[in-house]
Amino acid sequence: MAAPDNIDAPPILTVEGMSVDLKVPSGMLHAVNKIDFSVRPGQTFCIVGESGCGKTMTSLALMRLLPRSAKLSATRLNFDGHDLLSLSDHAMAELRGDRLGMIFQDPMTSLNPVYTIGNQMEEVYLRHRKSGRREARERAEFMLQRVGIMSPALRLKQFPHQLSGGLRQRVMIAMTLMCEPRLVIADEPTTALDVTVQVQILQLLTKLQEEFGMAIILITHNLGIVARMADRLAVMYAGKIVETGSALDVFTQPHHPYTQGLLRCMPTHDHGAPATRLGSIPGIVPSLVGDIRGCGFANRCDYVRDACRTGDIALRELPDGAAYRCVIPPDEALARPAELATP
Amino acid sequence: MTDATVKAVPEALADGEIVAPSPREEMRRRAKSHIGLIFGGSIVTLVTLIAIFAPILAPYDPYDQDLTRRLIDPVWKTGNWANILGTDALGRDYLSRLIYGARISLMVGFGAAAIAGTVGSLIGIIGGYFGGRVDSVVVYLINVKLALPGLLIALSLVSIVGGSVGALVLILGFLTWDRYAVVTRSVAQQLRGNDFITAARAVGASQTRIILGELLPNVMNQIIVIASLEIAIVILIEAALSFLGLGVKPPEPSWGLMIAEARNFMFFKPHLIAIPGFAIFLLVIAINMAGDGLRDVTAPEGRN
Amino acid sequence: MNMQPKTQQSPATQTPAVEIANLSRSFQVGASLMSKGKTLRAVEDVNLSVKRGEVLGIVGESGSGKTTLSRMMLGLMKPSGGSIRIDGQNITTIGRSELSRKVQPVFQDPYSSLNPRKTIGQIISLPLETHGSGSREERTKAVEEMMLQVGLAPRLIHSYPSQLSGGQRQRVAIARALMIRPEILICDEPTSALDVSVQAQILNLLKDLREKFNLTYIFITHDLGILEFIADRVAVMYMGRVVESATAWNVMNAPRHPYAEALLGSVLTPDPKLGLPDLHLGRGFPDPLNPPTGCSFHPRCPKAMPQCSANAPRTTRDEHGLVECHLYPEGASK
Repeated sequence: MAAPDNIDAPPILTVEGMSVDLKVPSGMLHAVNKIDFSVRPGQTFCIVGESGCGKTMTSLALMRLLPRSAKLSATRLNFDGHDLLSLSDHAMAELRGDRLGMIFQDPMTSLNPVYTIGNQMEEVYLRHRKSGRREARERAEFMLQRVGIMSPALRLKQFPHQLSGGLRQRVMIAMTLMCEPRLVIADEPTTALDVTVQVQILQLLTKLQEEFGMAIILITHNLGIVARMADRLAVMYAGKIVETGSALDVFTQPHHPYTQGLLRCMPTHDHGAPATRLGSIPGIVPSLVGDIRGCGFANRCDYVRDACRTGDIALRELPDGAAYRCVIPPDEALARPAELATP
Repeated sequence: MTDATVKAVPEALADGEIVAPSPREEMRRRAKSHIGLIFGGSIVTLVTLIAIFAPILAPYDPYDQDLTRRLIDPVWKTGNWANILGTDALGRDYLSRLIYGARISLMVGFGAAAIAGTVGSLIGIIGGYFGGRVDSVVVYLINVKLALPGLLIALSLVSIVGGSVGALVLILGFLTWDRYAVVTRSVAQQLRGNDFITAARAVGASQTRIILGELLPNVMNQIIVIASLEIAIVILIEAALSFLGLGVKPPEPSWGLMIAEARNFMFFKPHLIAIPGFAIFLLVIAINMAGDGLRDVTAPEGRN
Repeated sequence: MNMQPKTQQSPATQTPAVEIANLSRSFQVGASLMSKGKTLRAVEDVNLSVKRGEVLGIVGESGSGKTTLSRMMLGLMKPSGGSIRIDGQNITTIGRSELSRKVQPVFQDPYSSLNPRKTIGQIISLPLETHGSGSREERTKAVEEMMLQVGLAPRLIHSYPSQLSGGQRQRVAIARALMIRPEILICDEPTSALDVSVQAQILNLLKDLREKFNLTYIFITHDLGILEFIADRVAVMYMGRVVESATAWNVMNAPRHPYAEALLGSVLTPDPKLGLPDLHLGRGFPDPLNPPTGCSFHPRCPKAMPQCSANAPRTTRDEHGLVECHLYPEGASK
């Protein structure tokens, strides 16, 4: 919804064949399984999925903040000219907080409770820019103003626990933007907040994106947020991207049975009589330990057929760079929602 | 109640699939690969079995004196197979005394831990669960206990009451409850905010039921781990007290007392000190290893 | 155990299942020996009435007092003022055990609401054990039947909570609540910790069980979108007060209080053609220890008038419901 989708600009982030494998007692857990996507400057790219689909592992992998037991591999992982796979830990640390920012779900745990807001914000700036304290302080005040915090000089002297949840998330955003990153990865940035505050924070993110021109990867389970925020999106299920495309395409013409199922689960509000029953997806997410044959959604899918259980499911390309991973051809896939509406 | 209701059941039954092994299976799996736990645990078990079956295993009566057979060397020096570990200054079979000594060590250790564990855990859980004024009293009790010079009190009490095994168990039990109380109190504090406690209250469960039925199972791991470490400490204290002549009275075969009795022969019969000393060392280190192992096996991630 | 659903008694339908009158609850915060501390008014002058078989949705954000309200209705917290009547009987005169047969909770977090050291069977049978009903075999049988009712495979009876998914755990929590056949279920954000697809399953289940067991729900949530699906009437809470109460349809389609309007605006439907809504809300989140003068919503209210900061609005009751706002002065609603 935010910036125009500048298809021509070269991507700022290119991910090809990225996998994250975790060693667990019972074997190898394929948390992220050969995913591809790219994000262009100024774009909002949403990764949506339910718990355990691998979206958080994806964000941690991009920041190279994976737990020690995890193994990251990719055929290509390029951010702004840097190869994230071969970058040294030191160079990666230089990149984080500077050109690559991250906003976490819980602003209480991602801010250090024993330092003032000012201290923490200035620290980020001093570390990446060779500047004096005074300049850092001015920058921190400026950023707090940009995120809509009144009397920033006063707030800088306060500690995280003195602020409300919404304010803390604003501080977190201000801190992330201190060095004007090219890409911000936001992992469920509003899940811990009240609904009205959530809308305000999302609006703030959109406004700042226009102002600073950064790209945003927004990771969330909330389809409503995705629909309103995303330029492009990827739906993840069981470690794989099962559908991708522009927000308009995916929400108005979902092709993958999982995406269709998810959308049916949402309580609608259309000023009419409310639905008497919500759609739901039976079953649970399969175990990601060991080799997965065929489609991870097959056991929960209403349209499952023999081809779903064998081999890798190929990605079906659609116009405008959209794609979905299913054995069912597009025309047949699109015919389904209507068929379900009248059982 | 339409066809939709009928559909609701199977859609959920489909996820009857069990996603993870049970906590017990997890624990068993971890225990199997923990060398310290296996090593320590098997030694403790072995000593316990020896203590239980002492009358069968001991070749002689540990109290039987035979002054004609004093200070016989063990079999690997100049001794004979009749007295494998030789005899002491009163001609009592050293192996039999060692075997019966295990009984005293374990009885004092486990007995004191049982008393301390029950008293301390109950005090701790009650303080942590109820909070407020009750907790203030509990904290006060714990602080008073921590400020007391424990060993000094043990020494003076034993010298007043006398050193029977029962008295030692009681005294040491009431001197070591504080650690149980500190740990269980903090765990209970964390747990009391959990909704399963609220749910139990909403169902009308009594406070006793909540404490014993809901809280205790969640604190049990910690209690067992502390107990294993405390048992080792108590065994050492018992040995020390007996060595000083303030613990178990002769002719009881306490390991500490055996060392004390062997003092006079330290230079020409060093094995008389070395054998019970090594027994204490082995038992204490085995209990410590088992305790560490239990802590690892029941570690927080195992509790989900 | 009587496994048959209760039949509705016609005279009982006349008395409301829950009637709350002028209910208040305040806490002393930061009190010590020297100072009295400050007073936090968590719930203030709340009036609500829930008919038997009805679903009342209570919507509000954190700190609005909805959880304090639910704890009082469960009898776990005493009101500072006012009264709660369950089936016409004052809650303070109902014994703990009797009250638990009438009101049961379902909590938000299915991870903390189940004892991790107990099996599913033990958890679900706790209410029966507490009330001493039935023999061991009868209890097991009742547990298995209830598990089927909530859509759990009976073979899960010996597993532990850590082995179940979030949705399965919430089904266990619901089964436990229903074991002693309560009339009223207080659901405190029962789906907010769950995934979208699982949320739909649980909402459907709650809807089915309500018909099957003739239950009354008090459904607490921050998500107005869910309430349209499940609730008959909706009460909107802000800083301890009910600022609007009306039928779900009215609140969803013609909200009157500006805060209800903002909450409705915050429901993000998955429509890519719509951008983010503009709520025009102020950001100054009020400090509950120092509540604003007048209407407590005025610092954030887009429609605030001079009188809003001066004096608190009166409650207006009319055929649309109840609203507490200066925009709707008493008698002027026609």
